Order: sequence, then C-alpha cells, then structure tokens
Amino acid sequence: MIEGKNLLDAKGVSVDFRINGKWLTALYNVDLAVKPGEVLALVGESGSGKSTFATSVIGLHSKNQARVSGSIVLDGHQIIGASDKEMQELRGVKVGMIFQDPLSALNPLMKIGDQISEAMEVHDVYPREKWENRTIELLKEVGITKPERVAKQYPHELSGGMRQRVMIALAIANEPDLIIADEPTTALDVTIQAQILDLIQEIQKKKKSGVLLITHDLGVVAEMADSVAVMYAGQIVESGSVEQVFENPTHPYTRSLLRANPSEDTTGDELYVIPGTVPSLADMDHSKDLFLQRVPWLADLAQEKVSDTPAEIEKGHFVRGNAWKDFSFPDEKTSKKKLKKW
Amino acid sequence: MWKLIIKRVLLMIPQLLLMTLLVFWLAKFMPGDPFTGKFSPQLDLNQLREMRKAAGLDDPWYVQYVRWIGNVFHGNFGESFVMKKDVTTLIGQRIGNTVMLSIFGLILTYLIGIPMAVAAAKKEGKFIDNFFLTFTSITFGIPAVIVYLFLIFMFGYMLHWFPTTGSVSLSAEGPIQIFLSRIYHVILPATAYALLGTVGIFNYLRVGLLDTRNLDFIKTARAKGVSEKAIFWKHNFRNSVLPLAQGFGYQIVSIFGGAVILETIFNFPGMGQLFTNSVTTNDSAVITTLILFSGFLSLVGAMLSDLILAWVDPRVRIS
Amino acid sequence: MAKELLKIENLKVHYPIRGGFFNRVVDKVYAADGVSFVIEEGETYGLVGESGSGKTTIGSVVVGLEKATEGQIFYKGLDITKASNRKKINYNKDVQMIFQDSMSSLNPRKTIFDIITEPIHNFEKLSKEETEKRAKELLDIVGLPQRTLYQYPFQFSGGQRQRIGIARAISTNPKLIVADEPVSALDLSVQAQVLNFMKKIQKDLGISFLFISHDLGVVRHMTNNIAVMHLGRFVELGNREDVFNNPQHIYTKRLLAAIPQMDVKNRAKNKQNRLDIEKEYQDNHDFYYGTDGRPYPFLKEISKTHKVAVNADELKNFEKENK
Repeated sequence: MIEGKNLLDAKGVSVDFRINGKWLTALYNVDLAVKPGEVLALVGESGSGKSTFATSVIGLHSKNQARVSGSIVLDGHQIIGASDKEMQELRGVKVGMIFQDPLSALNPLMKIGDQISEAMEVHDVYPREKWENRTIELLKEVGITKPERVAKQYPHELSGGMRQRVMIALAIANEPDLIIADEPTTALDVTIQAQILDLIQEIQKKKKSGVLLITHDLGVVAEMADSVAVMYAGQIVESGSVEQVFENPTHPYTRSLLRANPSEDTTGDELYVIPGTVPSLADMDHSKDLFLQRVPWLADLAQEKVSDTPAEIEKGHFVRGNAWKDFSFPDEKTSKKKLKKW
Repeated sequence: MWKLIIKRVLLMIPQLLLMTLLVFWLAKFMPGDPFTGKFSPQLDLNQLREMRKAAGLDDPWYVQYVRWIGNVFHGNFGESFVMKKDVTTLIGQRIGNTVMLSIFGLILTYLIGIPMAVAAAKKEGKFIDNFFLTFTSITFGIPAVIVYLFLIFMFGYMLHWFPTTGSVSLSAEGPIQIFLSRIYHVILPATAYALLGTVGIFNYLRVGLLDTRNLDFIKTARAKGVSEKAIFWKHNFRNSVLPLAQGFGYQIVSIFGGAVILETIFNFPGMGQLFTNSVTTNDSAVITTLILFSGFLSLVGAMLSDLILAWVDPRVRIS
Repeated sequence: MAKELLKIENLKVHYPIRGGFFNRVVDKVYAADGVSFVIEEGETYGLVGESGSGKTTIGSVVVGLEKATEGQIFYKGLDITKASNRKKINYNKDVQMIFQDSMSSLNPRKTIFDIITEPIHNFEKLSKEETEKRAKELLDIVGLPQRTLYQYPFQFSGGQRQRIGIARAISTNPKLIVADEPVSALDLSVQAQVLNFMKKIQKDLGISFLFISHDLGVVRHMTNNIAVMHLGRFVELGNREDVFNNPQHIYTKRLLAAIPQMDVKNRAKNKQNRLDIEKEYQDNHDFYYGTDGRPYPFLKEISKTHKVAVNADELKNFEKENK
C-alpha cells in the first residue's frame, strides 16, 4: 500500500442528474483517495457511475444537467463549487485526462502538434519558446519514433495505438499530478492495449503521478492497479489494495463478477450468470445494498437499510453492507463468515 | 491537391457531354425554331421549308447536334427571334448585372446567417434562439414573391429608400457614379434574397454547432483547460462551418436559380429576367442557351463544392 | 470421429487498392490469403485475431455476404462459393449469422416478431398462426417472455437484444451459425449469459458455431478448435490445448502474453514474460515473417491436431517440396 498525503481526496461525493425534469441520483456518497504515485482502479460495468465520478473530478458536468455535492480536493483545491476560471486553471495542469476513443477525442481538423501545444498555450507552465520543442519531446516520450513527422499529421492519418499515444502526450503536456484514464484501452487491440498500459505505467512511475484508472476489465485492474474500488449502481461496494480485492473478494458483487469471467478453469463449464439487470436510475434506492436484488437467495436482505459507512474487514479493505457475511453461491457449502471466522 | 483538381475538371467532360445532349434533346421538342420569327402571312410555306432545309434542320439529329456543339464552342448560340439579336449579345448585356446581384446576395446571406446561427447556438433555448427559429420558419414558409413584393412596397414606394426597378440610374455619369448607382440598385434585391436564403445557412450551422458541442474532442479541449470562448471558436465553430464551406458551390447555383423570380419581380435586367421574358415569348434560342448556362453552372458548382471540401478538410485532402 | 460440416480450402479474398491518376489497381489487400480449415458437426470453431487480421472476412464469405477471390468452401459436398450451389441446397437457410452490435443489426422500426420471423419467410411458407407459434417457440428458446413479441428493439437491454439476434439466427433451424464478436459489446455479467446460452442451444439443437473473436479468454472458454490469424493468414491451428498451452508461433505467443491476467501475485513475472516475447518478436521478426511483412504461407504439422506457420529456415524445404 502506498503511503503519504492524498493527492486526490473525495469525500461523500454524490451526483444527481436532471432527467425529464426530475433529479435522479447517479452517484451516491463516494469516498476515494489517490496518493502520488498510486494507480487507483475504479472498476464496474456500464451504468455503475465510474465515469460520472471521473467527470466530477475534472469538473466537466454541465451545471444545468447535474448537481454535484460532497467534497473533492485535488492537491489542496476544492473542485466542487469552483468557478469556471479556477477549473480552467486546474485542468491540464493538476489533472490530465485520457479518453476511451482517441479518434473522436482528437480534433479531426487540427494537426497533432497543434493539439498538443494548445495544452501548453492555455497555461503558463511552459514559456512560448519551449512549446514547439516540448511537443516533439512529448511525442518522443510516448514512444512515437518520428515525432517531427507525426506533429504535422492529422489524427486520421495515425493508427489507433498511435492516436492513444498522442492522447497521452496531450494529457501529460503540463505534467499534471493526477492522470485520469477513462477506459484508455477499450478501443484497442490486445497487443496494443498491453503497450499503452505499459506506457501509462512507465510515465506514472517516472513522474510519480497519481492515476485514476476507469475500466470494466478485471484483468487490466489486476495488472495495473495498486488499489481498487468496485462500483455498482453508483456506489462503491468494495475497496482495498489490489491484492486484498482479488485474493479475498468479499462483496457479493465482486465475487459474482469474478465468477462470471471466462478463464482457464471455466472451459466446458457454465459461467456464473448474475440474474436480473442493473436498476434504472429512478429505481435506485441507495440506502439499501442494491446488488442484493440480483441475489435471489438473499431476497430478504435486499430490503434492509445499510449503513453509509462500510465495514473494514482488514486494514484498508472496505466492504459495503452486511450481506457479505452470509453470502455464498448456491453450490458452495460455507459462507465467507464461517470461512474467515470474522 | 493539384491532382484532384485536374481529375475533377476531367470528370466534367463526360458530364458536360451528357448535359448538352439533354439540352439539345429538350430544345428539339420545344415548339418553334429559328424561323418561327420570320413567319408571316406573306411567307410561302414552301419557302419556309426551303429555308429550314438550307439551315440543316432536316439533317439527322446527330449531325445537328455536332453542328450545334460546334457553334456553342465558338460562342455562337443563335439568334433571338423576338429581340432580333444574337443570344450572345443579349446575355453579355445582362450577365454583369446578375453576377453583381449574386455576389452581393451571397455575401449578405452569409453575413446575416452566420452571426444569427452563432448567437442562437450560444443561447440555445433562450429568447434569441427562439426568436431566430421563429423568424426563419416564417421566412421559410412565406413564398418568396410575397416577401419581395412587400419589400418593394415598404422600402421602395413607402419609404423611397431604394429604387424599385432597373440596375443603374440613367442619370449616372462617369465610372464611379455608375458603379455606386449599380450598388445602390442591387442592395434591395440582394437583401431580399439574403433574408430568405439565410434559413438554410442558419439551420445548418446552428445544428452543427449544437452537435459538435457534444463531441469528444470538445471534452478533450475542456480537459486541457482551454477557455470556453476559445473552445467555441477554435474547435466548435471551425468544425461546424465545414459543411457550410462545402455548400458554397451549391449556393452559387441556387442563387442563379433564385434570380429568375427575384429579377422578374424587382424588374432587374439580369439573366433571370431574360429567362422569364424568353419563356413568355417562347424564344427558344435564348431559353436553350440559358438552360445550358445554368446546367454548366451546376456542374461547376458541384465541382467547386468538392474542391472546397478537399481544401478545408484534411480527412478528404489526405486520404 | 465427428462428421465434417464445412470444409474451407485455400480460401483467398483479395481487395484491389486503386490509386494513381487513372484509378488503376496499384496493390491488393490480402484480407484472406490461402486459409484452410474444417468445422465439424456440433463443434465451436474459434477464429482469433486482431483488427485487420481478416477473420471477419472469412465469416462473411462463409455466409455468402462476400465473394471468394479463389478457393472453395464445401458444404454437403458442394462448393458454396458459387451462388447457384448455395441456392440448390438452401445453404442460406442452413447457415446464419449473429453480429457484434445487436443495436445496429436489428431494424429499429420492426417489432421482434417481424425481426425473428424474417428469415423464415425466405425459406418456408407458413400461415400467420403457424408463424406466430414458431415465433413464440423461438422466444421460449432464448428465454424472453412471449409478451415481448410485439415490442421494438430499443425496449430491450443489450443482452436481451443479443438473444433476439440469436433467435433470428436459429429461426430457420440452421446447422451452422457464424458469430462475429457476439459478446464484445456486452458487460461481463451479460456476456456470461449469452455465452452460456450459446452453449445451451448448441447442446440442444446440435448447431455448430464459427466463433470469431479478438478476446482469447472468451475463445478459450467457448471453442474446441482454434485458428489464429494474422494479416490474412493462419499462423497457428490446433485444439484448445495446443494453442493455449503449447503455442508455437511468435504471434500466438504475443497474443497470449498480452491478455491481462487476473493474477496479482505474478504480475511482475507476467509482464516480464510479455516484454521478453515482444523483444523476441521485434528482434527476430524476419524469421517469422516474409519480406512483405506477412506470415509465411506454409503450415507445418506439429502433431495430428496442431499446425503452425513455417519460419524462414523451414520455408526453403517447403518451397522445394511444392516444386
């Protein structure tokens, strides 16, 4: 576990969206912290709220459509309630972002070099005379072999992997302390994915930056992350170090996900199917453990109210609700509680 | 880029050929021929037949076509039997007026349409947006003729701000005075055209701006810390205006088509008015030439649109 | 020994690249370049590769959406790369397809009833009642309630839509279904549902699958025999055991090493292994790939089930033999 002061400190973050005139809660009471040099993976399926959280950190929710509450402190700056001007100064300098689809995330009409140097132009971290050189340096840094040439090209002239490298160069142009990577490799081939993940890791180690990695891919989490937070229906259901969460998965959702994943051991078997679907925003009652709706044999527990404070089952390993104590799959003989004598 | 231009020009050759064939075929089916004007009670029908034969009108169609094309290439479009003048001369007298009207009309269209769309998109759903939306849907719904007549009535007859007929004042002397007078005459019809033509540009650009606003690269720019103002102009506007630039070629064509009604109502001596007059008098040589001209213009417009797109969009230019 | 269902022999699909001033053919894309394999009755055959490997092209040729430039595909003894043969044996009834994006492959203006009975109309004359009965049976098979019959695609979740796609595919009682990335747009929990379901209908109905995917984890779970494709050619063929536990070609090794492992304890080791293989690939590229950058076109037999593309040394022998 990485020690030290928190670079990003989010406490009780909730986000409501206005949908058809009603305010609906998409993210509820999220606590998260990232330390310098730490990779925190936020993992969950679509609709879990992981991207909503990332968007809150960089302050990109539209004020008319979204209401953000709680506290997000990034390197001493409170983000919730910050003015547009304050946010503009923080974005790119304190926090850089890498998006999922590098083709649509780059302006099709601007040369690569111009898009990178624009990131420097809008801040006064680097003086004007350094922009051009640094653009080339950055492209070199992200492993592009002909940086001078690429700087003069347009996004559509590059391959998917190259584009994502450009995106990374752009995100780190002003050496931000925190990098948010939102599904950075989902659109890429598996061999390119490995290269991009290595690159992010290399840069993060070199600069001691914090990384908030948003992904649905448990394998990517296991390879990249120092700590993990598992999200379901707008809440964190389990968090801890990557070892804790993968070697001792505890919340029913985490355990179900791991069981649904095809692996060497599942060949020929049926995969575990999580029954039901994620509830719609209007049906989310965040005072309960929402995942229990999808555990038919714990139907009575699904109605119970659950504390907003998660249980700390080992140092730094948090689990929401009480159901984990009684949870076991129908084909298992013992529940976690009996197993671990907690 | 050069390769593209040459390619595109070469592509026009078969297009032109096809178009001339079509126009030739239409002309053949139109009532009247170069001798219809000479027709009088004194003329012997046999004599007329002789004259037709001598002019080659009894030749097979392809012979006639080749001869016609040959003439067209030499700038010989025949003679108007109504005005007893070379078609070339007739058009030559008017083309300048129409070009001037078109240029002013186009400039005004963009000058009005673009700021309207920008203002509306910036304040989406607010008063100004709704106001422009209502305005454009009204101008779109009213027939052009009524708007033109209203403007003539209002600014011509009531307020006497602008002349209501002609392209230049007869009392103007010297090149400078004549030029100013021409501009003075063109302002009202050009504004009238622009007020109506703006609908398309307004809608196109407004929707483009609103759509582009939600694209990922706008989010990237925001994540870089770019100010909202710079995001709007550098990323949103620049990308949204692209289809407009492409549409420029077609605008040229449509303004020429629009000139028929516009010039007729404003009694503006241009090619559009010439067309109306020729149609009412069945002046086949003039009609054919004007159709040929507008067809040629459409082809040039389409080519221009393609070239402009290639020029402004690197995705087309470098593929 | 299972019976052979489909035999693909030396299949080539080349697309011309036009360029220059007169749009002449200046080069070709070798989307598929001489691939051969056999799908047996009731099995799931896996076709693995990255984008641009040509795996989708092969699937399209098998269902008849694209034409083969060269080579044959035999079904019931007939070469179905010829359209006349496809017609003769009602091939299009026997072979159906499931697509990756269930949203865009289902017509949004048609009801589920229309969608799943459309293929039936092409091959059978059924009365209105019979068609409805059949549609309800299909919904039962894919586990959707019968009341959804007259709903529209947007009213369903991703997993449900994918099952509608499957219902459409099985409506003609096909023998073979080409599944092109059937689960890659789905969340993990939904993916499990669809994969289980595909296995179930295979068992119940005896359907074979040509399973096309970039996801090696899913392929390992689903398939018995696998072909690994790179740049239009097969680099390795074998059963699951051969390909996953005894990979021979550098590309197969590379692909396998690149899959993120859920193995936190050994992640440093796994990463080192991946970097080593990547280095081997970079350093000895020419040993495994020809001067045109593509894998060598000959396969050598490792065992009865296992074949791998030759390397530069072995190439000479193969060229001699072929002369």
